[in-house]
Amino acid sequence: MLNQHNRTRRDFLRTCGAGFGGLALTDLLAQESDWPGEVPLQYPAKAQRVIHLFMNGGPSQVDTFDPKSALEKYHGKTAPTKNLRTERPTGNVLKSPYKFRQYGESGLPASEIFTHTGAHMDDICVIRSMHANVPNHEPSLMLMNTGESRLVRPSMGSWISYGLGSANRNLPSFVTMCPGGYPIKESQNWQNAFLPGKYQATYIDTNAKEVERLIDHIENKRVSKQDQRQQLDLLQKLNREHASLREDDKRLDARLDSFELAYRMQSEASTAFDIQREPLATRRMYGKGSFARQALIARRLVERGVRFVQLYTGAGQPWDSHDDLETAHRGVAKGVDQAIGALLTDLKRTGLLESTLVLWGGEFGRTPVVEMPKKGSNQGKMNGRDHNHYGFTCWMAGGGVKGGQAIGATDELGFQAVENRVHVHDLHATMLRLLGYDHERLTYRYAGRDFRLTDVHGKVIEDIFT
Amino acid sequence: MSVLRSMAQIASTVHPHVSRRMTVATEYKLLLCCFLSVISVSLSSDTLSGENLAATEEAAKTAFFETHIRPLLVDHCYECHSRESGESDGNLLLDSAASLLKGGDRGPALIPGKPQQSLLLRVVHYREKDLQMPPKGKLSDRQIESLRQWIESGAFDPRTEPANSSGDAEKKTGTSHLDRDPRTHWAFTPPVRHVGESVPGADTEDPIDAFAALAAKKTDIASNQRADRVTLIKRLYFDLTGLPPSHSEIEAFAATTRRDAYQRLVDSLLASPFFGERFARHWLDVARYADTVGYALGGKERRISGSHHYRDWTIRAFSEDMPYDEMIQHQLAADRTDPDNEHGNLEAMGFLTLGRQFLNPLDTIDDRIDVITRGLLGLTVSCARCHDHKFDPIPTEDYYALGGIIASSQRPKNGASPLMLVDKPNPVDSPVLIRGQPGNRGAVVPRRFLTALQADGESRFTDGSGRKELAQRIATAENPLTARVMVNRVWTILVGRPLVNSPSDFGFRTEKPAIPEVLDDLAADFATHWSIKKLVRRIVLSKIYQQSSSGNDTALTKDPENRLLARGNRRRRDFESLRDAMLAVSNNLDFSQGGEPVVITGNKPAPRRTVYAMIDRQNLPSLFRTFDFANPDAHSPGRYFTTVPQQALFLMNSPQMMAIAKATATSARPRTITSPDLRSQVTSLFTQVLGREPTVDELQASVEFLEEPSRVPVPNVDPRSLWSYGAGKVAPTDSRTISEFHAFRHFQENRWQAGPKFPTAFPFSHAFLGKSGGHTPSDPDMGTIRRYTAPRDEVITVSGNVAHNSEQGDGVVFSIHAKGEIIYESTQFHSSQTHGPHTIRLQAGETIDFVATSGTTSSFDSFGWTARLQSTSTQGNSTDRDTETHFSGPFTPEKTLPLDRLEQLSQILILSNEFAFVD
Repeated sequence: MLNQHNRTRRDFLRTCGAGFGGLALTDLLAQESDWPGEVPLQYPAKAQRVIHLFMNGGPSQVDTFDPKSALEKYHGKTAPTKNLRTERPTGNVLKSPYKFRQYGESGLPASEIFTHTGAHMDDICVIRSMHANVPNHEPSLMLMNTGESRLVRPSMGSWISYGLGSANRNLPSFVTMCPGGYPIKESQNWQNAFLPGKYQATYIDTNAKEVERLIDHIENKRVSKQDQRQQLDLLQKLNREHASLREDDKRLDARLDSFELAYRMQSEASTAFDIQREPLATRRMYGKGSFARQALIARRLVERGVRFVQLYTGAGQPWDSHDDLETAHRGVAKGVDQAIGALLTDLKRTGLLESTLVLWGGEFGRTPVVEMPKKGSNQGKMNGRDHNHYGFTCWMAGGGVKGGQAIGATDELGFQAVENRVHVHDLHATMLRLLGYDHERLTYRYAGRDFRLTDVHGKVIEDIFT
Repeated sequence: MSVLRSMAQIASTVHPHVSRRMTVATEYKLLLCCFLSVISVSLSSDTLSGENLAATEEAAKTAFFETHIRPLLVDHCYECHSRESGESDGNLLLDSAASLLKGGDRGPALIPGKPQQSLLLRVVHYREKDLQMPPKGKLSDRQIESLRQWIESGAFDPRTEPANSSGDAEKKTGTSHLDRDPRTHWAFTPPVRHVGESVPGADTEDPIDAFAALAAKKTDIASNQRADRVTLIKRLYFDLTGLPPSHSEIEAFAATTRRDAYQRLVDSLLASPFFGERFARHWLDVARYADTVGYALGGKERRISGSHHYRDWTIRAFSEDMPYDEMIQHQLAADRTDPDNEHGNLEAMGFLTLGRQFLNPLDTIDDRIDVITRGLLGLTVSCARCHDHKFDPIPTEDYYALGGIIASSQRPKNGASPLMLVDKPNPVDSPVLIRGQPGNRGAVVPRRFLTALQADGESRFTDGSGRKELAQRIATAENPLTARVMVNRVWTILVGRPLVNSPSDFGFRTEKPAIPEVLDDLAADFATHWSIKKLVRRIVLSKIYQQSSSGNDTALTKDPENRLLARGNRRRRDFESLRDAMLAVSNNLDFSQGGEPVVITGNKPAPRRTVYAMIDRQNLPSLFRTFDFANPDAHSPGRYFTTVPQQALFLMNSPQMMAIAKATATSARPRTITSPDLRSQVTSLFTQVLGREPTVDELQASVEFLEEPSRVPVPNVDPRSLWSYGAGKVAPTDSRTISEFHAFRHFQENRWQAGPKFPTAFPFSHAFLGKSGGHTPSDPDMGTIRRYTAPRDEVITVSGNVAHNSEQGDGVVFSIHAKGEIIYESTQFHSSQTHGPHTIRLQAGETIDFVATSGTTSSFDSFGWTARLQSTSTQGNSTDRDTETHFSGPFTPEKTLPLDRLEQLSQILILSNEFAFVD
């Protein structure tokens, strides 16, 4: 077993620099019972898979999981410290329009727009000291997803697929869902970059309800299943005859197998994405709307062995409340909160939460001070917040994470991370550690050097582990 | 001063590059560990069968070393003390037995049998403050104990000096690889021809065959025979054109008695326009070609204007056999070689300008440095952006010397080509950016060529930006890399495996080919003429190329990777050649050349060759990625060949494949409908798709397949087709019965109505049905009817909302009729109501009517009515049928003609391994 693993890895290392030589390897992989990854674990894994609830657009930390009483005190006044420079001009302090409540034994607070999530605070570890590099969506999305703001690098889902493979070879290892189109930066958010193409996410527009529209070519309208079976039987026969005239060549067998696999996948994948098979009570628990549908699909996928499932709040940047924050944030939260609560309940009920890391967060947060009105965008309005990369909140649950605790802190107003600062690279390093990797040793040789998700950065948050 | 202490201090200070170096060291570690596990496993099995006690003992020692010691040294020491990491802190190396005994500045690292006196053990104990190793933290007690045991038992150590470190390596210890004379690395010395060297046993004309034969003989491997003619013509077509030969071409070639038939075939293929298309596509991988800039802020245009001119220039250059040195000069400096685009060569500059658009100009410079250096020179100069290259003789100054050249070039406003660059009026040298950071300026570096490739006393570039001089320094026979790198690429295309395993990295760590003379002779020859076609011709005429790809056991065991070139390599068709071959055998291929890129991902197969496909680098369609297309974001050294079920799904189910299968079968189908001769149809399909007649078995199996009755797929219901719109009489006596359903025939302004003019004549008058409501007819006995027809036996659950808004008139009567019953009825007057859920069990073909009538007065009778139907089949599958979502005007239902058996057979032949692989 060990030997098998090592040989695979050696083949890989030998050939990846060459690119060409990799012929046999990936074909070999397809032979195995599941779909093993290319990098053996370096630590005992606490999590085996990840669900990333991506709050794209940047949810405000001070209106969700990082309450700041000082905002009441200074509301409408100049902040006691100079406003940090963000994307647009900002003004006086703006208090949160929402009330916070403490939950569970831990007493961790969540705001009134996250009551369903709030009910799980004892399982959630809130990281209040996140920080990123710049206050703009594009580079920050790239940083959160690929660990690099500007250059083209593989996304974390691709890295994890490359490392771990898939536990179900009838399904892709990395699935991204976004209703109604793409987030900004589009498919770059889940790109494989220089990793082989199979590590890119399978993207699904969850506004589509019919299973056959969710996965490319999963259904054939012109050949019945019975006929297709007979087609494949004949194909097998022709391929066997072809192979019998040649020496043993694994690639021939692998390709032959891939058709059988695809044939089975047609029903397996359809089943995985078909939430109508869930009991009515479960569907009701998740609630209505596309995010609820995504969350339920996510649970069905992870229980079938998919490694990385990423759920976007919506196309574009739904959390980007430059104005009318009170109604805008409330509206967006309403679309996700119940589903997130249900997902956590469901994962816990099925025991999957222990080995499934749930990550919640945006590409950055928002300023505790008001954004000044600007012609053509938030003209005439002084009720929103600008982007803020100096300090924001993410949370993790399950997968070896100690819940009911908050890590790090922002300053008095919630503008800037000051205690136990956690950079996005650190978040990645921590996530990889939970999955059983040393982020410095999950590497890929390309263009003369070894690349990794955290580049030359990253520090594991030790306090997070159970 | 203790050297070890100073080492510890250095390592413990924050070194900006430590992490990156770590990564590299780690790679070695992984590599080594992998090898070792394999070795140790095989060793232990040897031990089991071994009878010789001494051998057993040695095996046990080896096992101990490999299990406990080597991994430890690799993990904790090699980073700073090994040849592979290029580090030998304290002049100490720990990567061979001899180095340990020899030791470093503090003397021997160990004394076998005497752990207490061994420095190695002292430092790992961490007892002395200034003598603690490894610097990152103390080893575990168990690890220390292992070391102790090992030293005590004699420090058995099978490690010898790494193969490529010659005797003087020790002398170099302590000096950087930057000080190493580049010419001590094979790739940095000019290749030389080997013609005339006597090769014993040479019985071939081309010296490369002689060298290969000799190498095989030395290893005791029998070289394969020449492949048969059918195999050879298929191979040549694949390699030189990417297309399959037709059956008649195969037959003719197989039957010819001309001795020069093979040469003639090669020459005709080299002369065909398809050669240029095939080789251009390979080059586009090198050039990271795409038709879009990538992401553009604010929805700006992404298409690169004129991108395809570069692609077409590339095709022309290969077709016309433009010398490669000239190709390089145009691609880097056509603003100087063809400034007014008189010869169309300005388009060649797309090589530099077709990269991804970055927000930061420094990233654009990096992209261009990378495509030039990896693409043309096989050097990873981009690694030197933040620090000196870790392994190769590329100081960070080299990066910024090239950076200055790129930064001194710009795109002109009104150039003769949108792809061109020109020199800035005031070219400037660039400063080193320390650690690659823009604000961190170091010394200014003159624009010049790479240090390792500079001639003695070579001066800086002075002509404009220096791009032209750079091009000249690359495109010359004196450059030891240019010809080798290109020859290796061409070799890989033709032979299927590279001579040098990392085609875009010929640096210090890259081993020379197993038979270096083959690469060198080809490269030295190539550099005398730079003709790609001559090079191709020479390779495909060689014996090596023409060998059969069947493997013999000895060869497979002794040389599994075929480094000794004693057999051919079976190849799988790449994306382009697979798709082009499918278009060809289905008679769908449009042979026209050049022009705007074509989207190839629609439901119908676009007939153009794949080289003309639109490459959107921002959202590269999954079809490309699924079939391992080159990543268009950066120079690509080579393709991956993965096998994933998504490929099979596309081939089995996509609408494109259905169309290709249908088209393929058309030619095999008899023109007249007489009793079909299945055998001749099968034979015709085989010759068309596979270029050969079926065997007896294949013929029989295929005929049986055709004779088998086909089961037509159950068509998917288009939910729009389940709804019809009209008006009908509601019998006054028996209001449950609907009679005279008049379907509305006219659809205007998003609503169905009885006539082309609105209002229409009595009795319909203002009657219409729209997406979420309508208006009743003026005849009070008549209602608008929105009718649902069940496509299958099912249970329907209906719920909805009815509304009447006007305050005038007397409202609208709403009723739902099904199975002769009234399911629901209400009157709304300036009011609304939700209704349901009602459960109705329907058989296929039965209907549900949603009827609205005017009440007693026939004015102010606009109404709103939306309803959702959940349909559950007898098998338990449920689907939504929605009055709003599935409302539609007239539509043409999607044509889904099932594939008949002959079409299914064509598809199978196209899916076969025989079609996908080339022997």
